[in-house]
Parts: sequence; structure tokens; C-alpha cells
Amino acid sequence: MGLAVILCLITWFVLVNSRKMAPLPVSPTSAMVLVPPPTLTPLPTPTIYVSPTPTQRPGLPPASGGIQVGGYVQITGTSGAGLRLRSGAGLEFDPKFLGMDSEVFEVKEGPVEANGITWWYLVAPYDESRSGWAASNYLQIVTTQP
Amino acid sequence: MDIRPAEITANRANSIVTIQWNDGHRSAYPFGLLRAACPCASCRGGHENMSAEPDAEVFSTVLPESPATRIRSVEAAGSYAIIIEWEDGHHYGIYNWHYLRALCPCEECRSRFGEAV
Ligand SMILES: [Zn+2]
Ligand SMILES: [Zn+2]
Repeated sequence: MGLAVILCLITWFVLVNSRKMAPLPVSPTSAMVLVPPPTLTPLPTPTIYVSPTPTQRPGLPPASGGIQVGGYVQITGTSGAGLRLRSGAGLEFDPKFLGMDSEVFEVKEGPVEANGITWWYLVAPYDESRSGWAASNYLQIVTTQP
Repeated sequence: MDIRPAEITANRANSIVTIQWNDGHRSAYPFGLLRAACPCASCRGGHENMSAEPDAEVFSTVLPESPATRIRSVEAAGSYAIIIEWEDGHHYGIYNWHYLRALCPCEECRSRFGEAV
């Protein structure tokens, strides 16, 4: 009888202490990590760069009309029809492709006057093959910070 | 393929945001186009008018140079979108990847998305 009581006490003592000492098996957070729904797999976030505001306008103020070599222009006012970029400065040159409203180009050459139109040679950023001469009537400078 | 940007650059020297996409495409957006196409409910005239693609008019909208067309900051919204804060304080537009790709003004993208709008 006495032995049984002692055994019971020892068992109780061990159980109580093991409960006290053992930490909770998993915290709520780690439980969520263990069983993630497939849609919660984190997707890569793109690297985002925001350049600092230039302290002064680079270069000279734009010439009349605002467009200048080295600047950026966007196509505007074609009502979705697009603007022909041609192989030469003049209406007699073949169109190479259409630039679309709001499409951005870098100004590489010009101006050239032909057919009563001022022409600029434009190249799409990142795609040198998208280049050609465009009539300034449908070009708008992409503003630069003052 | 899940099309998403690998890199986004907001260049305040020439007011152009460029996105390098994971399928190799590159987009160049004038700041004014992004502002004209702000996808927030108030800029788009209420939730009932909002579609997953930009309205066609934004491509012919030319906004004058002002604090409204100057970007103050660009932040990631989770891994599905960016939030652009403008210098006039407007920061309600959440530009998700699908919307941004549909907003690419290049001829290839305009001919693909242009039909739908
Ligand atoms: Zn807005
Ligand atoms: Zn494109």
C-alpha cells in the first residue's frame, strides 16, 4: 500500500514537472507557417528605385517648342490612330512603324524642316529598333523637374 | 506565365517610370500618364466605373506639369501592386501588375489591350 502511494506520488511529480518544463509545442505563428495555404507563398517584390529630385535642370532651357536633342517626348493628339515614324525627315519617306499616344521616345536628332513640318529623330527607350523621324505636331515634351 | 515586374525605376530627372517585366518586355510611362490613369475610385469616377484595364482616354490625356504629376514616392503594395504618392499628396491609386501592363503605351501592348477598351 505504502509503496503504491509512493509510486503514485513519483508518477504525479514527474508528470507535473514535465508539463511545467516542456514549452508549448507550437506557437500560433509557427503553426501558420507549418501549414501555409498555397496562395500565401510569398511572391517576389520588384526592386523599386526612385531617383532623387535633380537639384537643377540639366542643360540649358529647352529651345522654342520645348523639344531638344537628349530630351524625352511623348506622342499625343493622334486620337488613338498613332503617329507614323518614318525612315527620313519628310512625308515622302516610308513609315517604319506607328508610335502610339503616350508612348515615350528619346530625341536623338533634329530638328529638320520639310513639307512645312518640323521633324525629330526619335528612338524608343530600350528598343533601338523602334526609331524614326516624327512630325513635331504630335509630340509633347515629357516634363522635367524645374 | 505570371507576368510581373522585376524592376521599377521612377526617374525624376526625365519624369519617366520604367518597368522591366519578367517576360523581357520593358515599359516606359510618362509620369503624367500614370497620374491620368490613377486607378483610385475617386479618379475613376466610382467603383461601378472601374474595369481591370485603364480607360482608353488616359492615353490621349495630357496633364500639365504640376505637383500632381510629380512623383514623391513609389512603394510596393504586397507583391501584386505599387502605390504611387504624388507631390500634391494624392496616394490612393493602387497600380497592380495587370493594370500597369495594360497601361504600357507601346504599340505592341496598345494593339493587344486597345481592342478591349
Ligand atoms: Zn486617384
Ligand atoms: Zn508594351
